[in-house]
Amino acid sequence: MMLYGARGRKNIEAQTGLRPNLEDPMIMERTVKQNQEVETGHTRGNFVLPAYFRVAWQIYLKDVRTELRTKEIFSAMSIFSLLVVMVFVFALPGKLKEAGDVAPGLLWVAFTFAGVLGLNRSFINEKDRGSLEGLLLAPTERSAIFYGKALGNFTFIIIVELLLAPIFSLLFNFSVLKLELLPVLLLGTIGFAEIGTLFAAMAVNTRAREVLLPVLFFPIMLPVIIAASQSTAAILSNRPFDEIGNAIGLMIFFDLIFLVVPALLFELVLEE
Amino acid sequence: MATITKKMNLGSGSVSGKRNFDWSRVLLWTMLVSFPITLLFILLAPSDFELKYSQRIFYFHLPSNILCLLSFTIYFVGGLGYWRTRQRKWDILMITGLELGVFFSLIGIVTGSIWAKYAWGTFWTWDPRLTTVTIMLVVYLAGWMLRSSVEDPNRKAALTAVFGIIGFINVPLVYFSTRFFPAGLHPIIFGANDKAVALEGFMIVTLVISIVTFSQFFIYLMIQRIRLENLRDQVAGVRMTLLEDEDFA
Repeated sequence: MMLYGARGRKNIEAQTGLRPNLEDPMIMERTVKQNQEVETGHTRGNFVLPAYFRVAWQIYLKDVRTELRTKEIFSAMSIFSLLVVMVFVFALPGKLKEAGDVAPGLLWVAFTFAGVLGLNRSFINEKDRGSLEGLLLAPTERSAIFYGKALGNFTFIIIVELLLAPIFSLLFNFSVLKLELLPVLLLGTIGFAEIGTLFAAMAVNTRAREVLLPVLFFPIMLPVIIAASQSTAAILSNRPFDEIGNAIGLMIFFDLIFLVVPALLFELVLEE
Repeated sequence: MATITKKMNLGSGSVSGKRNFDWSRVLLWTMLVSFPITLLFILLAPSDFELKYSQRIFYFHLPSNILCLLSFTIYFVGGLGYWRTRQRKWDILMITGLELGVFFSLIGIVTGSIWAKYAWGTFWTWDPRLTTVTIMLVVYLAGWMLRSSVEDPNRKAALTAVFGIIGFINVPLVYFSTRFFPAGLHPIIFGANDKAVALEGFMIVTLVISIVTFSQFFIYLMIQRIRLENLRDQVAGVRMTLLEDEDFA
């Protein structure tokens, strides 16, 4: 009668204050019911997310946990983005005085390059460790995997961006640290994560996987890169908001469309 | 095996029996007539007051750009069809649209560039339309690359479909985003815009004839491309059955 294990018994103890007699059919019935509640996500009283979102959330947590242990994506992305910025500094020595003109564009180029590097790893690691099959076995729709993965990629990219911005300001001697820039950064990065996650999942199943992702990713991301760098430039030079209203609108539109479309198509991407 | 031999008439040497009427041949013969007529019209059409002779390249430029947009729409429709049904015929439609789209957008860009050198004094300018077309070309070239780097036919079709749908949705976004660039030089031919360049009656007739001729060419290429892909499938099928026969002989 050890069917429900120590944890189940402890739950009953905690709730009833009684040590359950596992031979008692009444108590057994209760544990069965509780187990069903946990499995289906329906409990009376406290709210539990539907299974779909819980799977997505668990995939996200798994990615974050893996990253915290290996620090593989994060270290590669931050060092690479730092190198990109340094290359700019060396390649454009004369421009450092008028950094205001080039900084917004260079900032977004650095973000894009670093982003691609991180996005590449997110599925290649799964594939190489053979854990992609495990993910595919998750008892829910495939789009939950997409949302979990996209949230993970978003987190990694935004952290690297927030770290890179002060270093960029330091090296170019031109401050890009403005609180108004945060919404632009968020909108742009959401777009990166959505399209990037979909294309990373596509590229992982091809022959030229690391090479293919940027080729697919850059042209599709162009509207976001244009809009983000234009609005960054406008914000940094203190131009009025209505000048960038359209650009912000475009990014919101892009993010909303590609929040839905890749999720619909994700099943097709991961088909065996 | 039986179906393949029926279709292919394997081993009989010559193809016998009922053959379907080949519509692409009709197109080939009508094109033989319509191409000279189109050229004649283009030569006879009145020269533009400002642009002189160079304006005539427009009769190549506009039809190929229309057909380029049409092919990418076909690719998109094929992608949606494949997404819903997972059938091979939609995959064939996708590859047809993709390849023809790349071909016609290249013609459009090259003719436009040549004309721009004369009219604007430069081969290239980052005008919203030019930028959009270029990005579109790059997107679909990337799609082509994606397709060629997958081996499994089902996965190839699936990834092509996904990329086609995303790429097509992206085109209006690219067009909108290029509006943040300074205004461009590209003329607007049709529409109630006061910038619109008017066309004379004879010019419009020439344009229509040119569009019809190009469409014939387009349909001919499409039929041939679909046929090529079907033949490839048949060859693959025959190869499979031959290998099976060898194994069990």
